[in-house]
Amino acid sequence: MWRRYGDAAYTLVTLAIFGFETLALGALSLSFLLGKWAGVTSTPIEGVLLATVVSAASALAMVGLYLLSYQFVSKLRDRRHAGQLDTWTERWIGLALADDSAESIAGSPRSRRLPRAAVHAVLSLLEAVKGEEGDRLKAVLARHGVDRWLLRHVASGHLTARLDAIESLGKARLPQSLDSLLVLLEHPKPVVRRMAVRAAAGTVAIMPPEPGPDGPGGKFIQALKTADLKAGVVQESLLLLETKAGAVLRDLLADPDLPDSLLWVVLETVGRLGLADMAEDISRYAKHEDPELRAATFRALHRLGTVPDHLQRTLLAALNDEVDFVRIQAAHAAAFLPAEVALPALEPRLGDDSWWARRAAAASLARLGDDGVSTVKRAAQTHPDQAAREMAVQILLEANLLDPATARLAKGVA
Amino acid sequence: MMQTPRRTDARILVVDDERVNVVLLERILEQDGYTNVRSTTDAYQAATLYDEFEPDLVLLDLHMPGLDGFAVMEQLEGRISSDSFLPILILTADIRPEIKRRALSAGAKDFVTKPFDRTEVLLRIQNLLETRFLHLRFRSDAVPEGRAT
Amino acid sequence: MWRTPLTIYQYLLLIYFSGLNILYGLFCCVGLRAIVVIFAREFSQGTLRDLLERDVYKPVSILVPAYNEEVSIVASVRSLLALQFPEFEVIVVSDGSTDDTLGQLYDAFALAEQPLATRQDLPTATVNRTYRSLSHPNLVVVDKENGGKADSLNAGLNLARYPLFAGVDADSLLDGEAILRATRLFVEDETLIAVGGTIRPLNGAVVKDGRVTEVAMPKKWLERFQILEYAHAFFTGRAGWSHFKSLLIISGAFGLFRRTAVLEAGGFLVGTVSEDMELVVRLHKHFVRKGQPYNIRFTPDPICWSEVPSDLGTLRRQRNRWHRGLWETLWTHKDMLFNPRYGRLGMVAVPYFWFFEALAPLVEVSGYILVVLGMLFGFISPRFAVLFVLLAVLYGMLLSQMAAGIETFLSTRYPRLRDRMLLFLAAFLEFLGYRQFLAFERSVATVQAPFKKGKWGKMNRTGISGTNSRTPPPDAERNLPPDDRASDHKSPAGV
Repeated sequence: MWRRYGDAAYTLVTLAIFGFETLALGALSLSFLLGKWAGVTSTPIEGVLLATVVSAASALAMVGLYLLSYQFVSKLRDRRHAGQLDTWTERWIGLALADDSAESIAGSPRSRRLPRAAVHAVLSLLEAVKGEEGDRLKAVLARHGVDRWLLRHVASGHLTARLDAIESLGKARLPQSLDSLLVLLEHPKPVVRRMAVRAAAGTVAIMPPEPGPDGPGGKFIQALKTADLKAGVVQESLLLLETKAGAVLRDLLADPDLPDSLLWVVLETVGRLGLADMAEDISRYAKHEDPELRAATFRALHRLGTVPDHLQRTLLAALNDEVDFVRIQAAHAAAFLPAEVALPALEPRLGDDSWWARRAAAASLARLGDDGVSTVKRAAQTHPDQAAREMAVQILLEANLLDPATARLAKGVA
Repeated sequence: MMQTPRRTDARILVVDDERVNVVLLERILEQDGYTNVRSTTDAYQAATLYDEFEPDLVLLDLHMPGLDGFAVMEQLEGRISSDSFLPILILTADIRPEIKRRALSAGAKDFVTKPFDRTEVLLRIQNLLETRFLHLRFRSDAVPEGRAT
Repeated sequence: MWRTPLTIYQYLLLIYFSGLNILYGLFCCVGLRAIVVIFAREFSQGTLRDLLERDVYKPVSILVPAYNEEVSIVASVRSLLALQFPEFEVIVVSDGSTDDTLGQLYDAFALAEQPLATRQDLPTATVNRTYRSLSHPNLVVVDKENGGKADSLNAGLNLARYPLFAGVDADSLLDGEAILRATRLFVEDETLIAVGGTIRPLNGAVVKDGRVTEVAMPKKWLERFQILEYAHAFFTGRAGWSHFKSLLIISGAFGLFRRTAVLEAGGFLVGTVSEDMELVVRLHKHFVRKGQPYNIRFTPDPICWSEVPSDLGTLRRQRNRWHRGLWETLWTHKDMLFNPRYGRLGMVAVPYFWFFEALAPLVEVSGYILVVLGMLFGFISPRFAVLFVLLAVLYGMLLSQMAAGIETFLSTRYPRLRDRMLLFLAAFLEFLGYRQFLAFERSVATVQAPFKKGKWGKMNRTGISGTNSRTPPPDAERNLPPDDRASDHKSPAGV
């Protein structure tokens, strides 16, 4: 979205102008005050004013010149970059697809630094292709010392270079970068932590699985537990683990001193990733003392589309939980209980205080087969609570089980 | 009975908004012997190109700005007659199972996630083309005229 | 005699002028750093894989208050429904429209009346009927009694069922991808309650299928100046305040809010002319008082494209309304002024808006008057007067240029060199009349503010015309009238 060169210079220019401006205006105000107070004539003030005007004009000229030249320079640079990108892309593709692994880049000595476009091209290709071809491209990065260069920038240097390096490592997904990235999860700046955790997750995703605390998954978990990251960010990173997610989530659940916030994230992620075989592992949190965790468990089970048999009693009890959002999520999950168990429990929920609970109950009933639907239809006409009747009608309409005319009639009667 | 055309004569259309992906696929196909490959990074051009080029196979990205893969499939559906078999192979970075289901029910015949493995992609392309040519052959056997597209 | 107070006033003027420019300059620097340096890297195109953006989102309810929009409502709703966004609903609230707005929607979207079970979280004017679209299950239309824009938004909120909502103007174009990135901010930070996006003027852009495919400079200088103004306002002003966690304005034309937070704070305030700013200030107040950690921030992502006035009359009325709205909001929340309970907000941001935003036009105009009077009555030498005015103009140009500079870093900047040069030139020309004109109008607004509470005035909307038109839907009239649509949102009479 933004060009990233020349911005440092521009920042300096604006900073310089700002500082200059402050001094000039300060001087002006001061001289004015002194002049009027001390009764000095207006000429020195005018002199200062003139000087200020001149400085403003030169600042304007400086900015204008910088911007004008930037326009031309950036246009040329963009064009050149695009051209270079094409050339390097072709070259790298040629290398990646070659049957032999010998060096086929003519005249490029080992240690020569690759131009930015070349690195950009490799990273883009790495997002598209894996396997043997991907490995050859990663070897290119190693051969030209790009990985070492990136790691160096990640470990030190100032913010912009660091962020650029983390981003590149996120694309390259080099196993040797994992440790450096995990160290950054303790960095004071939140943006660094966020970018590092994403890059680290992507890297763990492609590393060969190794159980235990020293494997990539294990290290990732250790770093997560102590890092100061918002729940949403952790959730994102877990989703980035792709095929390794299941194993990491299982290890996290098995950890005895897992903080509650992380536990919540794990429950959410299990649901989102549709890991139905973990339904058993998460079910014990349905009775947790923290209502957020109870609700998260039911939400996950709802997403997984399954409720383990031994959890039926807990779920039915949760339908009457004092906390509204627990009732809501339990009502959603109840759609996956056997009909004969769920129906009698859900029907009273149609008259729940919470609008959302009523809706969840009606929606789940409608999913429970013909008996469920007829329960909803009955409620639409005979339920003592008007709100319940209206909700029932709406759910039926949304599911195309009722035509609008009947609905109007029902509302009129009710 | 008509001759089965050579697999490598097949017309393949590549649609992906990333130029790098397009070039990569072109080279991979080239190296495997396919000589008749067209491509575009502009999803709006896909339908027009389809009409002009009449491909045997379409390699389609899902998430593109403006017109996405699903919209393109919708457009193509209108152009494919019900008894023809146009294989659409989806190549996408999205690994969610529901997207896969949605793509397959929207008309895609196969689904590969990025980053992909070259050998795998080539094999799938080969399979799809073989099915396509078989289909054409049976259709042309039923109809006395030459190869119908 | 009267020399001393005048001299003091001169001096105050000077201090004010210096302070203002220094602050503007500061914002330029901060905005640049916060946006270009940090944001650019964290949210660059390639950082995030498709999966991330597509799955880590929150569904959004899009609220569209509409009053007498029969000419464009179908096209607008169509472009909203075509947004590339995984899960959302569109709720159109007709605010007692007296024209064919509902009829147009009914025909175009196969509406069927359905009594919807609504919550009554917020009091609103009576809702007569609600409709659901049979062709687009995520479209809901509400027919309600006239109550004003804020009232319509509240009615929409009562129906909204997703955790986030956005209140958009009927003729804004939204960028689905940008909204996706914005909702990600909510997922990442559970304390975030509102995000303000960036608005870019639509004038001059080429629109195809409801998407902006090419940006180009519009023909009129008036529109060009506004492009510069918006760039300045968003990339320096908003960015700066957001960085200091004191963002007080999120434009009504596009803002993404957490529904529960807004409901908690009481919804939109009916009867004010700038309900968007008022809501944000109230959100701050509510959560500070509650003692709950919260965040309101700005994203430079170009989320929304909006048409800006192209004729002087409409522009005047718009700016008049904005400035009155600013005063109304500041006055309503005057208890925040210099109130240490509100931290940086109360001690820095709110005072800034009082003295450097709300009062600025008056000071500026008085400065010009003073200079002229001073020259006439001889207590300011002509040379001094000329130099001072020159200084003011030069600084204005400088700041304008610095802000415009940020624009050049955008990769979606104007592709044609000619357009970029025009923008560059505009930064100079802006201060040779345009700004002064605005200052005058805003001063008038300041004077009118106590008397004209809540009134909108007539707006001329030309629609998106000529070569820049959206593809009209097949059933719309081809020969649309080129000008005047009576498309004002009226507030309840007599308020």
